[in-house]
Amino acid sequence: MSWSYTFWAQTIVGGLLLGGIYALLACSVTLIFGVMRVINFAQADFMMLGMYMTYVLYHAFGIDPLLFSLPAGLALAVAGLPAAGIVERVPRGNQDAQLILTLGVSSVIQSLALIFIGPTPKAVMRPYTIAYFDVGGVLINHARVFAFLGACLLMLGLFLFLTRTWIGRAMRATADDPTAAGGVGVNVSRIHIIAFIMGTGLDGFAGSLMVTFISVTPFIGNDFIMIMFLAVVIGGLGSVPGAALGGLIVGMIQSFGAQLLTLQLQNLTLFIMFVVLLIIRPQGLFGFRMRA
Amino acid sequence: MTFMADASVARGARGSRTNEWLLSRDVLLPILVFLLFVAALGLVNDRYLARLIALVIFWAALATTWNWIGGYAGQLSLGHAAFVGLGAYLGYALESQYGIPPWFALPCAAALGALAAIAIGAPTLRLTGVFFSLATVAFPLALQILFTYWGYQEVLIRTHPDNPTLYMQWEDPRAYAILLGAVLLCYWFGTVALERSQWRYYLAAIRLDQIAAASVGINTFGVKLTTFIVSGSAACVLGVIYAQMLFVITPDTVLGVNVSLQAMVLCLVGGIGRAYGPLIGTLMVVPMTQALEARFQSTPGVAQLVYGVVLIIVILIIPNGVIVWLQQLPLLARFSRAHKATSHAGVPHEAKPAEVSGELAASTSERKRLGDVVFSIEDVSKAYYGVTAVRNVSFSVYNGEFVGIVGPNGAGKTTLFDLLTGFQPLTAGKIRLGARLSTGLPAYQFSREGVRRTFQVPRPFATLTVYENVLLGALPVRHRLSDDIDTVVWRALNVIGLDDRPNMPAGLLTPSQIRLLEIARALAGNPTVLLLDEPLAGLDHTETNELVSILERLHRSGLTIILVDHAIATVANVVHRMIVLDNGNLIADGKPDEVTRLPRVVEAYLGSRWQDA
Repeated sequence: MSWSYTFWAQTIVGGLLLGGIYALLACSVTLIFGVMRVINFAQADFMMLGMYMTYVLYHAFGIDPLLFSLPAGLALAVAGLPAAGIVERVPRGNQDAQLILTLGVSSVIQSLALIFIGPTPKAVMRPYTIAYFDVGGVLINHARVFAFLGACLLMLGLFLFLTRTWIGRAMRATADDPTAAGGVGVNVSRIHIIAFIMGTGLDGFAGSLMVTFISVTPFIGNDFIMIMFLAVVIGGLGSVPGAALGGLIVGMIQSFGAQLLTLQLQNLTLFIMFVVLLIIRPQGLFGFRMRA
Repeated sequence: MTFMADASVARGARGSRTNEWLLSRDVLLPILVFLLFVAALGLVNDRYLARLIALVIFWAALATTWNWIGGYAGQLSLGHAAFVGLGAYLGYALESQYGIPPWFALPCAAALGALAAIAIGAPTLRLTGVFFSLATVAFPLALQILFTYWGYQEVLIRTHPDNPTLYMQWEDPRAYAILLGAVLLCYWFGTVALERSQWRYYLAAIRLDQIAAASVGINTFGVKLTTFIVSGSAACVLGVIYAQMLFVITPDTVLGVNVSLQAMVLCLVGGIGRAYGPLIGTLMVVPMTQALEARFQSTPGVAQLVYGVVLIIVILIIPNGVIVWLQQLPLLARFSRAHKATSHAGVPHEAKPAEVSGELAASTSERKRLGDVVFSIEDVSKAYYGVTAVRNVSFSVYNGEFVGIVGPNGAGKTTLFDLLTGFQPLTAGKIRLGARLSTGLPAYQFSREGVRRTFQVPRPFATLTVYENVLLGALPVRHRLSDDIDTVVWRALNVIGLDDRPNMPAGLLTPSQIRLLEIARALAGNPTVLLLDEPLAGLDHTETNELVSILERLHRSGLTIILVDHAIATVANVVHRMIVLDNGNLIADGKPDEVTRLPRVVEAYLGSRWQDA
């Protein structure tokens, strides 16, 4: 590929489209961390479940993944309930125990997927998977555009939910100070569970959109969880706008990285960024507000 | 980790002599067990069983190394696989490149593990809580990618049929079991040494409250890093042997997330931060998962499922591990009681309070003469992003003074307090302790130099006993468990009036007793200056009087005390000199009755409209 105008445009557009999905995933991580203070290692596995569910329904009933993405999100929100219940049973503030629990949940989901579905990658092929818009020489994949738009819509919905509804406000209050929120009548435990299942629901929705252009394996979560954490760490743990921006940045980095490095070194770069950022700026790059 | 029970930490401060120690049952019994184990291996003829035994011992040893950093120190590392993987690949590389047998790779692995632990730990151990766990996840993953990238997806150890022992390539898995058993024996002694030394207390303090640990003079970062280095180094050695036993190395088997997870799960199941924890956990989990893997060879994932389920069950139902149940079984309970009673000579609940005088002056060895400057600050300022909390404050404190630093809320008292004790760095200015310049020293150094503090919101080591809390005040300056440290602890408890309940967990004391405990903990460190952060807040009238009379007694015995509080009237009655802060500026310094009459002070406290009143 030559280093021309179209090359750069292609790379930027690719990064943006990928980043949109990452942004949605990062929002789900930061929602759960912000409200519950739980580092949830199982989140990318809920995304994986969303991908499988969409795959199975498409092959069994021919339901188009795009139509199914919202129900998939709802289904994964319900699937998140037992996990939310388990995590909420640990005494609040015991972050270590909660983190270990989510590792256990992740292990269970992955191994169940491996046992019942098997290790072979599965993908959904739709007409739009291989169709492209041609904008002045820049090829834009339909499936990725749909996924990007879906992610943006859902993030907008999340933003409106958090700022315009009472439950959303209660959620932000709980994130700020659970004791004070409890003091003014917020059922903190319920808010925690709602935040958790909203997070897994967003992951399921994202997974459902992604399966049209990325094939799914039981362990795909292991690759995505680090990307999600990196996006969140860039934006500052607990900040929703920060996470969205972080997701876009990681998408861009990957898109440019793909032109320069092999896949393995790309991931290595992400890990190094992750550790360096955690160490030098755990509050994120942009100074979005975060509860101490 | 906070969900750990620390009742077992209730052991004596008096260590026994070295030669006694070498012949004690702590040393002889494990050796005997090891010899019996070797003898019993002779009866094992089944190859599969022998291999299983070797694997069990490997995991027990690996979990033991994780237990040091993850259990005792409470730093939940999720990157332990990095060390195993480095050891495995090091052994392979030395043999394939230079023909060096794995035996010689063992010391190299110890060194490499230590270096890797420094590289990983130096940046990440500054992070607290889950952030440390998150950061450590990335290291084995990054190594996994690197080794795959370099083309080592699957390497075979070169065979040396002519000389299997030199190249650690035995046909018979029992040989690996013996070798790993010997390694496990060494690591067991490591755990025993840790439990018998001051390290047990340092690590417990760090696990429970790192800020309080720094306040008693523990170099928290140094202790954590040292533990991490020992743990990583030991795990790296195991990696070499593990690779020889597996014969095939893939990044996933030695560096995978599951390796780190498994080491942690085994400790959690058995009992995290307990010597027997990793051993019990391994015996319970590893044979089961190995059997499942053998049974369901066609469906991979079953073992991982079991690990996941076990993890969830353990955290929810038995966060302290199976060992807690085992200790309740009648037979074992008797054994463990007997064990404690005989092997620890100086158990505090058997020790009677030593005959000590109530006065502390006798304990202070190099007490300065009255009137020497013990503490001075020059033009000290502190700014947070443009907000100046303390501005150009200078004063000196003389030996034997009782000083109150007062000011309305928001005057900069707490900031100044943190600056005086090294808990926050200065923006500008100098701090001297005696004649020594101590600007920029970390908090634990201030504490070791004799500047001891309490906290506004008390920070006791809640699950440790009263005795152990005070012991932790003395240990970091004396470095060793000894008989005279016992005297120091009892004297501090005696002065403060808590000598009637040395074995009560600190978390069960009343709030005012916890305040007293913090003061006792500070006194045990033989302070030159005692700084108290709002010690009177929230105390009722009787409790206030009790505390004040204790402080006056300490002062009479020659201790320099600085008390920070906003209750100017109460402080004025207690102290002999008062420093008033307002808006970060020092606005008055003098005798309490004079200072309280100054218009500037009245204005600061009551607002200008009261000036004429």
